[in-house]
Amino acid sequence: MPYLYADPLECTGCRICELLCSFYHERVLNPKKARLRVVRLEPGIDTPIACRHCEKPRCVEVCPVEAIKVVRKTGMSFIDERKCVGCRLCAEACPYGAIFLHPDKQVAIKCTLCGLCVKHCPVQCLKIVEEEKIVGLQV
Amino acid sequence: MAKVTVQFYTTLRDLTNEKQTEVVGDTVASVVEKLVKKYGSEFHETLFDKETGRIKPFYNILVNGVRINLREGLNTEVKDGDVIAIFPPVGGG
Amino acid sequence: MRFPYKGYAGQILRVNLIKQTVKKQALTKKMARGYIGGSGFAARMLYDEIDPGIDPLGPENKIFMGTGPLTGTFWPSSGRYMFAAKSPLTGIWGESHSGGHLGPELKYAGYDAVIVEGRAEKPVYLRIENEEVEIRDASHLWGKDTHETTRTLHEDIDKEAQIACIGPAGENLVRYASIITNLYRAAGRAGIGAVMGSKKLKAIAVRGTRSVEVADLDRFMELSEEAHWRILSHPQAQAMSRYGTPLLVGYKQTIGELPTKNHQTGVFPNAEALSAETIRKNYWAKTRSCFACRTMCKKINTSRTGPYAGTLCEGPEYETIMAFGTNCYNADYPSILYANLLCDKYGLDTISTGCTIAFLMECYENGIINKRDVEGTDLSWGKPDAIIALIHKIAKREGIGNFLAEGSYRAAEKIGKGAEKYALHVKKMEISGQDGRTHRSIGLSHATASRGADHLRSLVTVDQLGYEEVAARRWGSDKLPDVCDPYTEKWKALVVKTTEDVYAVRDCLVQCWYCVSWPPVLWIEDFANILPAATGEPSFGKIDELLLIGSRIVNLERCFNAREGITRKDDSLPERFLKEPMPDGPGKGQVVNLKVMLDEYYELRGWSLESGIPKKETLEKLGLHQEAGKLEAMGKLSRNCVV
Repeated sequence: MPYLYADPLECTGCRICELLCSFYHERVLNPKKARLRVVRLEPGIDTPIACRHCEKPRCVEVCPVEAIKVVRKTGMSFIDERKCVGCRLCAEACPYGAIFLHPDKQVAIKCTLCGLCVKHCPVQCLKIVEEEKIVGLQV
Repeated sequence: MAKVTVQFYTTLRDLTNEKQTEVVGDTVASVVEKLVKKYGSEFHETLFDKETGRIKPFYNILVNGVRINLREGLNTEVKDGDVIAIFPPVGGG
Repeated sequence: MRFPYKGYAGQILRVNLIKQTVKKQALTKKMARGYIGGSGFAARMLYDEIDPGIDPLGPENKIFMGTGPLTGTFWPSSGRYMFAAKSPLTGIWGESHSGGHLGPELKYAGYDAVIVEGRAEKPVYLRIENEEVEIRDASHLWGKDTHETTRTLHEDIDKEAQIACIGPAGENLVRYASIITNLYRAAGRAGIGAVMGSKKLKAIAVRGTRSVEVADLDRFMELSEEAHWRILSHPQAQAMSRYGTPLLVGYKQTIGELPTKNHQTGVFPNAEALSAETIRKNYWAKTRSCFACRTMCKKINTSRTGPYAGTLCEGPEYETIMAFGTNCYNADYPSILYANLLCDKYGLDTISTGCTIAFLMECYENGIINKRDVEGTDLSWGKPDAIIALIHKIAKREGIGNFLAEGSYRAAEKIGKGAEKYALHVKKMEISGQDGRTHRSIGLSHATASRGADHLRSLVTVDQLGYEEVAARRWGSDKLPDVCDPYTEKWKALVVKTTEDVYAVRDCLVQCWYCVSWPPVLWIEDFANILPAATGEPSFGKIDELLLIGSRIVNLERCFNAREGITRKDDSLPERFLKEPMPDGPGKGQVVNLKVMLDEYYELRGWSLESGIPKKETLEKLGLHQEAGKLEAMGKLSRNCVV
């Protein structure tokens, strides 16, 4: 399952990715409407957090209205905003903290891997990782 | 001909892997020529503008701490013991 | 009614700590048109609301915290904010800007600015979350350093909140206490941290979830994108991304302007130990950025060996390296790193702290004070332990620290015995890491800036660095080469005056100094392009209009200072720069002829040559009729005004 990854030692914490994410998705300048967050772990670490599109997504399991669906072809999961009731169970269940509540619509939002933030990162530390290569294991 | 010390900073220091070097020349221009010969095409490309063939505008060359633009530019004569510094200019506080 | 311009939030928060009330005030179109934002709003509001002669540490002082119309948007390096108040260090206009992430957050919460008045009885902090604004008890925070305070507030409120706070130095009313955000970002100069401390205001915590709207979103994003790429592809900006402000150490050393031993000279024997290249190689850990900035000049450094092993923090910047390093004759980087971290935690301005210590060291060198006077500390030049020990004492006002906390000017007055000549200040603010002898225009900048010995309000880089094409474009090629010659007074008044007006506009946007002042990527034309796209106000697209506003703000701050008694005699420099020839380096033998530059500057500004106070016609041309009236009533506009 592909997901957005960034090296926490490369990320400078500028949050241009957050700003542009809100712009590209909703034509607003508002990091709280971004589908990713740059988390600061002081001292010194900045790490962009975005949905990992887990193989066994806990968010899908806990959603009481089945608003999050897995697309079989890619294995990625997407939130249907029309079905979401804003209960936040998915955000609590996400082990990665990558689901956020939209401040106005009060629905869950998470990274859809559109990739538009990737080309704007000043240090090019955002990458779409296609697959996990696990050393030593035959897959 | 004068024996001068050339000091490198930031990008050029990274490139040449040296803080400074000794060069023999009579003007700043001849010193720079010697440096290009010593450090090769990457040095030349870093310092010179490909289109105009001149030293890139933001690079400052100083002789004993005075910018060559306030003297005779690249034709500034050098004497024994002079210190030439090549800098990408910095400013502020 | 919605605010007619975009970019702005349209609201100012007014907090009264005596009545414990919070009011939301609408921003007026008149204010925005006349003063743009940030610095401009601060000048207007504080001039109107603070009476002359009040005690900066008393309840009548007010603190202004503000942003500009571009703050929180994609415009590069616009994610800053600023503070202003009457300064307890100088007794005149006090202002300090800071990077980090708080500026945008304030806009996202729905406010352009906050103004705090009065004084709380017990320690409080201000919590802002969109419409919810509360004054909360901070007794559990009082006494904590800025790092503990930030951590605690993150746990209490929200880990996403942006927090500006003071440390023990602000609480103890050290006259140059700073305000710290994001652990390492400082609104350093002018002692506004002490004003917060005097109001028992420990912190301001902000969280916001709104958007910043702009008038023409597509054009705005197009212009911003273009500006971003201009910065990203600029080689000097790239150098800044790699090394940060310590880049200056090597260059200043080469041109002989690296303040050494309390500005005695500009040549430091071991500059290499503090150079950008040495730091990058041995101490650099990571790079950091302010909000929406591509320059990413912040560096996280760490030291792994020696007595300060384990120190990790952002910085130190060039000024801090100067203040605790070269100016104290100290070449030990780890101790400077540690000093920087202490100043972040205590909330102390590194420039004033370091320069006050350097002042004391010169007094010690000259036998004006001895070991007994300083509790047995050996204050010979270059002793890192002594520097560290003094920082602790100053922050806590212990022993000698108690009167060093008053600043070098007041400390020199107390010491007497000729110490005054070693207190290098302008209007009681310590001189920063420049020297007019090797860079004439900064001599004039230091002498005339509204907040005292300021290096950011009008620092011209063309004569320091030689941007001949930039100088020709801005002032005409007929001014070359003198305009770029750092050793002549010629044309310097012109460049300082025009630069000061542009920077005044920059400070209204609360745009970062870097990539505007240096490297010269963005300038007034770019502000004239982006402001109409952001706000929808066409007059902001006229450069002349913007420069008029800039000049208005400079003059308004001058009126503020004139009311406090500032005249030409205060626009001066320490004797060191006027009379003592530079002893070493390329600038050997140079002194500053301030009079000729000052005369020219006053002419250009339309200020009285005798008193340095703006003439009536100058003020009236800028729409400052009431201010002119006030100065006239005070007798300040007459030819007999005391100089």
